[in-house]
Amino acid sequence: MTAPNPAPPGAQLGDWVAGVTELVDAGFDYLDLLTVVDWPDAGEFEVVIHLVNGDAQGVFAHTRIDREAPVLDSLVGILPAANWHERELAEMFGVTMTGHPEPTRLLLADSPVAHPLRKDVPLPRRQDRPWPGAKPEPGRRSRRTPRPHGAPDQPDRDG
Amino acid sequence: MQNTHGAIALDASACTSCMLCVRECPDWCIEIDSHTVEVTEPGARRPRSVAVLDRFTIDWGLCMYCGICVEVCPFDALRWTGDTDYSAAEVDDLRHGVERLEQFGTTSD
Amino acid sequence: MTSDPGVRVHVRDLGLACCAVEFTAAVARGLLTPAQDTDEPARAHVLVVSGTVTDALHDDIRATWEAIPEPRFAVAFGACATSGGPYWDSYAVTSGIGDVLPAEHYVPGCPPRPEALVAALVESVALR
Repeated sequence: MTAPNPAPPGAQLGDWVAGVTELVDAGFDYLDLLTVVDWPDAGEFEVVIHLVNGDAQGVFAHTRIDREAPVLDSLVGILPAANWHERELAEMFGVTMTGHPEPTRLLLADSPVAHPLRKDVPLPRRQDRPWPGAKPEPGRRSRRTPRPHGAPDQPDRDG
Repeated sequence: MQNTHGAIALDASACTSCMLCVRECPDWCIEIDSHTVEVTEPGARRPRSVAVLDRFTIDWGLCMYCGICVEVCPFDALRWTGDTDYSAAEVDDLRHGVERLEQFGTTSD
Repeated sequence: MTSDPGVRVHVRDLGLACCAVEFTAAVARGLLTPAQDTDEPARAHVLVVSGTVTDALHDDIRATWEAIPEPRFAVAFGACATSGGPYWDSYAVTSGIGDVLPAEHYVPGCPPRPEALVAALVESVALR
């Protein structure tokens, strides 16, 4: 199978299930990707789906849901392959999947970290260990404290 | 086995303690301690501030051998060697300082 | 079995991630001899843990370790089995097999070369 052609950014769907159903009916019936992007500053989760048709053409679609009480209608009725994707999102981001036929844990063992892919979830081990790059280079008074790559600002352990 | 995916060797005399490798390391496995001294060279009007490397450690137990530190070093103080034979009975013994890091690539190549 | 004539140990690989490929490479390159190809008695049984150890796997790893006959020792092969490696800060990954079983040797690398495995086995046996 050839790689799907680059798809345009895709539409923001107002009605998630209806919008995706429209795409599936238009031939984009292969579920390639279903995931969530966390936008903590906006207070939103962005749900992203990538669907592929028989000619290996892809299409993206998005919808935004409230981050504090994230609820999303399940796509399993129209895309059975969404079953595990949605269970994964329920665990990793804490999204409640309305109408999911099997809303149980999929990947995570019992863990003290509730929804680990949320950007504001601190990684306990990073807080136990200071970043070695925080020291200033010799002879230079740093104007700002450098931050490690890939680590969103995390609340202090005590704060 | 020169320049293969083995240990990364340090040339401490080339290191300026600039912290680039420490900050770019995705694994946080490099640590540097340093201080500065004032050096007045003959004929110079003012003393110059020179960094002195006190400690340079790589924790091989953490290192993922991505080579970003080698790539990012502006002074070629780090280089790949083919050395593989440095396993240890304790995890803590996999944290090597300047002395051991300088020895890599000098014996088996 | 290692190719080193002085080191006859029975090696088992608990392959949990990509480092297991290097264990296979050690066999493919003749650094380790498949057990069925030799009649020589082993001086010890070795469990090589290669790959990422997640917290969810502790019980299975302990059960595997318990099933290894005495005399035995364990080797952590690669950064993940040694310390968690690139996943040291993960919510789900164990900081090395030292938390799960008494490891006698730690082989650094991501992945380590097959030669590093054999060198570690030779050294472990020499230290015993």
